[in-house]
Amino acid sequence: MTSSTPGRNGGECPTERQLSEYIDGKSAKAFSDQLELHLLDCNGCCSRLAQLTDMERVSPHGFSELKQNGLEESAIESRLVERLAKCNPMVSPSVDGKVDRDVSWFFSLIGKPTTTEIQDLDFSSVRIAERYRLTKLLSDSMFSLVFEAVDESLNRKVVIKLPSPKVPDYGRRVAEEAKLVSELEHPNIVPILDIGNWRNQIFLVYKFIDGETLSSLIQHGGAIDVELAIEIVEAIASALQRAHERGVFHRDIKPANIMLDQNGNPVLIDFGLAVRNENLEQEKNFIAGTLPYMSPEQISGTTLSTDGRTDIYSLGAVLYELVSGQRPFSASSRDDLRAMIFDRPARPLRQLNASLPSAIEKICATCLQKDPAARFGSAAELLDALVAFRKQNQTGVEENPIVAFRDETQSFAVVPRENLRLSNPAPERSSEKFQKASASASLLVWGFGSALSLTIAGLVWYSGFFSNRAEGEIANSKSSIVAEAPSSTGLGSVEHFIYLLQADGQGRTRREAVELLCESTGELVIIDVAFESGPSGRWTADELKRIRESQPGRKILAYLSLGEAEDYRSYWKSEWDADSDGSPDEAAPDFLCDVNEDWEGNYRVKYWDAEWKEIVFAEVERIVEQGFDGVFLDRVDAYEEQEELESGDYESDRINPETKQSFRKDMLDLVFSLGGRARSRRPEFLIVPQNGSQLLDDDNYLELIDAIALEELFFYEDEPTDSEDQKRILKYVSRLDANKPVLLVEYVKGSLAKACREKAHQLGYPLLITNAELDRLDTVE
Amino acid sequence: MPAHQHWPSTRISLLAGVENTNSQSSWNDLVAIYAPLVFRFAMRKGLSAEDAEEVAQDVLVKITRFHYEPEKGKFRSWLARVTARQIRDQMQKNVNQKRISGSDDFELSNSPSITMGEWEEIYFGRILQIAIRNIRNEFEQAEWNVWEAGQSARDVDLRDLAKSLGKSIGWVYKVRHSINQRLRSELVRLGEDMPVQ
Repeated sequence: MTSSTPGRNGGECPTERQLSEYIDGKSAKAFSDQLELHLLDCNGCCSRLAQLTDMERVSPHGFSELKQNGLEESAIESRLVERLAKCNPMVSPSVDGKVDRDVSWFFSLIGKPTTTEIQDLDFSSVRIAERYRLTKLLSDSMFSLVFEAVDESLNRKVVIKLPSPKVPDYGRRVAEEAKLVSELEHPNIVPILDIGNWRNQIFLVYKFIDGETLSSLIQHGGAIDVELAIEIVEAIASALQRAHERGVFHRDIKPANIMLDQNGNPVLIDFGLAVRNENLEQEKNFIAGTLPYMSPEQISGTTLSTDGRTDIYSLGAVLYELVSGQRPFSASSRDDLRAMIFDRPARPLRQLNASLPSAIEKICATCLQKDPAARFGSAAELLDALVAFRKQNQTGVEENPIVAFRDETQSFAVVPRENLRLSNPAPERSSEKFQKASASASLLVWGFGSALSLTIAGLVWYSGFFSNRAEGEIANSKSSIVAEAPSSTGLGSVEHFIYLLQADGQGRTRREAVELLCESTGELVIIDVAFESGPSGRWTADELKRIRESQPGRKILAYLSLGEAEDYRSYWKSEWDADSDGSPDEAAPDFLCDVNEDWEGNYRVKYWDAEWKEIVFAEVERIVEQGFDGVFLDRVDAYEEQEELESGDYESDRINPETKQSFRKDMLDLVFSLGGRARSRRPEFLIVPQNGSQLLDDDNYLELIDAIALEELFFYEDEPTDSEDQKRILKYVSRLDANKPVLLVEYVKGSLAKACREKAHQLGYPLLITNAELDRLDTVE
Repeated sequence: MPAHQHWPSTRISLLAGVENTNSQSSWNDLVAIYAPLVFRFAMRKGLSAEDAEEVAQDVLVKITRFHYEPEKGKFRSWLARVTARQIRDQMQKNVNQKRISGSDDFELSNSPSITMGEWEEIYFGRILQIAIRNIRNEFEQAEWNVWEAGQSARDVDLRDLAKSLGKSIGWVYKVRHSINQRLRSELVRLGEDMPVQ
């Protein structure tokens, strides 16, 4: 089998391959016998075998733990398993459904015997905190009693709410949330006037709204006029937008909690069940709400997934009822109703009333989706759809039926159906047109979508993209937008910067992360768009403001990958790779390619694909909206993989057969158009790409960007990089204006870190040494 | 009930099993895999055994109540977050208790900062335990002894061990190798996004 047969006692040592074959049981018997003899004496070969059969070769993790804990679980752990197996929570009943109207606590509070029903109780002599005289019981529930009262100091009517002390912890929660609501200050949210403690009972004082609740309105008159309904729901959506931005969820949106005051102004009342974002997970057993308006996730008590979209569901149910006079679901028992909310789609509105506009049906249906991810992603999105509907209605473009649709980018647009095709970007301009002299103009025109003529259709599409602009405004501002220069004067000097993608790393809370970011030094902060994935994970404008204002002149960039789709983003759909094998499934869009083996969950994309571009543009739009100062573009170097030939060599400027221009040009186009779009919204918007320094060959790119980041310039996986490569890259970046910094990022430790610092110092570039997961700040230079 | 007979291809379907069918066996599997893991971690973070059990129970209830969504990231990261929060809550509860009882050493309590590294060691250690449990019957006890000796301590002289068993040192390495190979395929089957090489 081989010439190098191991000799007896100290003979020649076997090759690596022979050893592998031996442990695999593939060696011939004679060879095995001889090898075993050889092993008796040869410690070297024994260690080689030990290495070959080391468990680290199976998996690098978990073994030290196994050594500590042994192969079996401990007795206490086994008992724990046995005990817990008996308490399956899905089999035990939840707390909801218990309608406990025990209000005896109120009787003892005011010192009366519990002899009558509360409705018959005489409380006219009760003055709370020597100031508020109760006059009328407005509502009683297991959670609270609400009274009309007179504020005797100011001689005005108010509403007093007493949270039930019988509901554990409720009073404290209500008080906490009241403080928060008091900061919301929105014309469509009832103002809170006072909060106090009387005889150990917390009470809240709200402004008295002289008007009617929607529930009494529809009780008396049935369905209301569509336009009025839209105006009401729009106002409430706007109130919710404010609340959600501050991380407050109402959780009990229903007609009885919406009032129309004397001027017809809709007011959202009763934040009694409201809860703050960060408290959601503490609410595990707290299932509350009003069943017919409760979302499936709210009923099931999966509080982690209860977020702003739960309020959107409920508001959709309200809209449904306002325009049809019927609730989306009704049943004779709570159990049946619950089952319907879980399983059945609501009846399409137009089956109830065929004269209703199809857009309203669509909007309701979107709100009432069982899966929160299929609803409007935020109150702002719902608001946009409603506003767009109303505007279309007013301008009477009713010839084209209006549809609200959820496009691939998950952002909403409401456009006349015939213009839908324009939600794809227009054909690409030819590269010859893109002369340096006309760079700014072409960029912006391209940003609008189609050639030089700004057709009405193009404008409508554009307004769908940046939906908060009215069409007229866009038409009027056309010339001024085109006149804006897309080039930038640069970021200015940067000495320190922060690059943190996983702010929730190490189990940090959101607040801690913000504080940490505020305290860390750096004129530039690069963070992910969100603290954590999930609907309410995105940083709020307030948080960004805090982080920005913690240090003078600080800018914040949002991370965005151009060359890879990330499976934890909101645009990602599970059916794209349902079996998680790393290859796109049949349902996946054309742009999706195989996963990047180095980063689980990151899939390569055809970045020139129109559909992918739409996703990117929608992301940029959200980033602009969110209040970031700019965007940090990762994987602009994705073209490099495309330039790699089968031989392993690279072909610069390799042509993409799908676009007939180079892969680099495809990337440049993507960056140009997203830059043009963002800067037409905010001219000072920063654009900072990472790597891909060859693109600096392009003068327009050079002008467009504000800085560049370079990863692993000095070391790659703890090995020094090729010095020729370094030189080449440094030559490219030397083309940048002095005002456009070069940010170095190295993933090293110890002595290599020291070496990096020296090299960076020589070059005069700011350097960040961090870990590849980008989940910590403590290694910030 | 041996977990491997019921182990679904991913833990997501395990969770779905509990949510959708109220299935007792899914719940049992979930408990069997993760309760010791959470318990261990809570102990490591300084909780008493009693508190750690409480935390394990609460975390298990949470992961069935809350929907794990892959878009929230890796399951193990999500579980780490849920666990970390529960441990923190438990610590807070203890602080409150002390406050009520008038003790003044509550300031000493700290909130646990958790690094993914230490969590992953414990997490994967648990998954390895499960994998080993699943394939235990496929090998002789003597073979396991050899394998374990090879992993757990440097001090064990494998030559002596081989001699005491009347086997060659080559046999020892062959056993290690075949158990490793089998373990690897079981880890792949468990699909616990374990970085198998």
